[in-house]
Amino acid sequence: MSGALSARFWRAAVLSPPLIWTFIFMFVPYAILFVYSFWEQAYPTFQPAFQFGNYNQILNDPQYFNVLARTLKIALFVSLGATLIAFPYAYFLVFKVKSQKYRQILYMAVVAPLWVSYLLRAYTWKTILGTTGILNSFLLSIGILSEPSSVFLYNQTAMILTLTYVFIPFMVMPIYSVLEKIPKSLKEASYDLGFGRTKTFFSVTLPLSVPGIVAGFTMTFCLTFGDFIAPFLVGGPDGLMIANVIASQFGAALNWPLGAALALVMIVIVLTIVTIADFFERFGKGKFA
Amino acid sequence: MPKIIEIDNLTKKFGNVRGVENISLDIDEGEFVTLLGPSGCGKSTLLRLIGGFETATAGCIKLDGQDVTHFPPSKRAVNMVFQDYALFPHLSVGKNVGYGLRVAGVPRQQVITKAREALKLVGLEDRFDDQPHTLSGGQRQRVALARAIVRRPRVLLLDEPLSALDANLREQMQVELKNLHTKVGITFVLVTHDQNEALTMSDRIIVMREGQIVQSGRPMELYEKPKNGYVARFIGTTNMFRSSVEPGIGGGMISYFGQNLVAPPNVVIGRKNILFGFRPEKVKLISASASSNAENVLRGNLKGMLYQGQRARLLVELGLGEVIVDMPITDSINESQLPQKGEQVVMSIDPDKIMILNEETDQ
Amino acid sequence: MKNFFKNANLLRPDAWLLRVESFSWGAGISAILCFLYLPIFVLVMYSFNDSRSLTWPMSGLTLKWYEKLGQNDQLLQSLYNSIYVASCATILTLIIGIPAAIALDKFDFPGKWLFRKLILLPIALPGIITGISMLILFRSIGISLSLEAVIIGHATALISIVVTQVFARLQRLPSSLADASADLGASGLQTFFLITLPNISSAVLGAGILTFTLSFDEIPVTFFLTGRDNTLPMYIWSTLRRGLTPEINAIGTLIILFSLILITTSVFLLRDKNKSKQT
Repeated sequence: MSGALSARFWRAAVLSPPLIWTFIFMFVPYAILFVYSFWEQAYPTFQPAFQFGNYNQILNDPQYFNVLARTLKIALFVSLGATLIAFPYAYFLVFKVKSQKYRQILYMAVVAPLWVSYLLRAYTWKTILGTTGILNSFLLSIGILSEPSSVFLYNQTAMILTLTYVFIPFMVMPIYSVLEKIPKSLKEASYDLGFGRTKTFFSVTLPLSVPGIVAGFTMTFCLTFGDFIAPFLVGGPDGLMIANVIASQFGAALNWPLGAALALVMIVIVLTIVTIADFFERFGKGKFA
Repeated sequence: MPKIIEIDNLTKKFGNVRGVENISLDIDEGEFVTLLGPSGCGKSTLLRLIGGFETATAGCIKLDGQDVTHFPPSKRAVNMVFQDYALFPHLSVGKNVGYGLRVAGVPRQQVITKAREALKLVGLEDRFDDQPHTLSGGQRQRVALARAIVRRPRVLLLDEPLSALDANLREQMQVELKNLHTKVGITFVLVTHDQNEALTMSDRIIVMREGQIVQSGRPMELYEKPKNGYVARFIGTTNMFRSSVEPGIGGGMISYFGQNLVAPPNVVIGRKNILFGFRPEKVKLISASASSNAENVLRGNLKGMLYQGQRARLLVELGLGEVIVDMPITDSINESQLPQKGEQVVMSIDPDKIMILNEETDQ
Repeated sequence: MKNFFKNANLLRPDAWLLRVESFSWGAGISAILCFLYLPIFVLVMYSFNDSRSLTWPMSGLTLKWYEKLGQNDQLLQSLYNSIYVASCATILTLIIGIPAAIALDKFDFPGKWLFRKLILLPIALPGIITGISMLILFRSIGISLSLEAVIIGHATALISIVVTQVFARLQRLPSSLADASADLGASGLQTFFLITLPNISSAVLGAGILTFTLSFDEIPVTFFLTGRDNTLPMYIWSTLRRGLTPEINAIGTLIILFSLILITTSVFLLRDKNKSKQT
């Protein structure tokens, strides 16, 4: 009898800390967030209620829609940009580098920047692109510009550049890992059947790398979507993203209910994207695995 | 011999799938028992139930008279050698073998001494300080054995211990396992799907199918007197056919692909659709001239021959059927004396050697 | 035909095409690496720049910004705070995360699906969501914003890292090892400490280092949960609001150096372990 009892006790002991923690700090907060989104603003702060005013505001006031659309657009561009740079790099590492040692070195080289503070990496672009920054003074010194230009910083392009820069390592990792797993024999079989290099790439390599691309793309997209640091550093007035709007509700605006509602909208969007990506990934795995 | 394991109406269900069903079985102390069957027959499940790695859905297991049905593995005086050996990769060979003693609180010096003794039994005492991954497959298996024996369990369970070894090593290990059993005197329960292993090593073989025991007995018993087509096919090769027994001179007559055979003595005349079988090596090749004096003469044409060193396996076409006949190659036979393809072959079989297998389908 | 020419090296266009291709690859990869390291390079270089401005070319070399760092009490305090928070958060994630991974690997229990999704949620959702939802929770319960609140926030956000790493490692561990340990008489606790833990140590270590680094650098969650005491990123953030200072470059360079040491150490540690064990 002792056997079954001690197994049960052991099980309960292992399960309790994570389950309790998850419940208190992961389940309850989201529940409260959901409840808050129905509260209303009441000077000077806010009070409990049950009303859809916040959601109405979000749906009807064009500024929220604009910000959301802008955020989605920027996230898309960043993800595309990062993919376009990361894929060739990963491809090169897996298929063109013969020596294992160099492959490891080049891999570490692209991943190492991740360990350097994100804030700093975004900040350095501010210093590079600013009017008193390096790019301007460099262009001045070689004569391309006659006076410092403010066109490089504080706009959406600067944000896209900065964020793409930050997320390239994030994209390289999953693509590399998926390309590495492609059995060499598949490519050889393709050549054997008479396919040239381009055709092999598009019929064999690219389709098999889709799960990795999707994984990296989704992660980059969602992280960019929720970012509020890059807009603050390099974004400028027309570079505001949805996360900034949410943050301000919890700052000076003291409109937590609206902030909660916006956060919920963000959650829905992100979860939708993740689910779609999951579907694609499974589709890719099923067809080609 | 006292019974060391008593299993009574043991059932284990995995959801709707029956792992083992209503199994009752006794094992004597010191026996070497083999559970034999194809994959999915429940032999591994039964072994794991004895070891405590699965909990029975119903029924009872007694070890040395004590009901251990609900005991976890750590509380049973039973040790297992796993199919993948399960050597702890982060411990040296010596520490692996001594693990069970250390966990029981045995003083360190004693642990080392006993571990060395156990390794000596399997011939690996010089590898005490090495890491498991530096050992070959066969050596790892022996370390797993030493580790399981060192605590002197009442029963040693072995889960397909030889399946990962290549053929030569396997034969060698069969002998070593048998020797170890004799030396140490522990009850062995072994699981395998290889009938050769079972025949070579066991005191008793238990043939299983779909969660149930089909037949249990000494190797020779199972070989000479299989209960049904399943056992006959699983152990050794059998020529099987269905026929009825007609009345005939001095007993019954069986029709066999158009030729007639004298039935074995205890058959019931008039029965239809019985499954018969006979072993390939029980068929004797005779010359055409001797055929008039022999019993149960069969004539056929040689379709093909598989040369197997110590014997030649002949595939003889007989009417609409085919019979497998094993011809031992003694030193007085040379190549020219072996039958040629297309040649007529004359054979004779003793009626006693025709086995009656149950009317069960021979799946 | 083509092979013949290739081997004989007679046909120039073929070899020439190969050369062009290798060159383009080399150029492209170098360009990407330059792009990746340019800002870091700039940061390090300008931490030694004499003048305050960031114009090109540099006006002179100096260590004065590093000296100023040493006198900046606020910054040093925030550094200690970050170390404190990161250490506590890492320990918490290990204490909660390792059992969670074991539970997901071995046990079946009602709500397992929901549990798994919840644990992974903070990593899937933007940090700001975790930040504000914990802020709301703390306000509702009555816990005041402080470094301890930040620790809980970090732990919640980073548990999934430990869980995924340890879980992946556990899946690769043959279940027969734990069975064998039980078979030889070990209790559940003994099996965990003597067999399981040593075999997942590389995953635990890797996850721990990663968690520490991410906590050290964390902003979104910290932003909403900090009270009076700042962590290093929050201090840098507030300094940035006021304008650029070269001291930021100096501290940035030091952080890079520290990260470099951390990476090399973890790579070194993990490489040794991979060599000696084969599981």
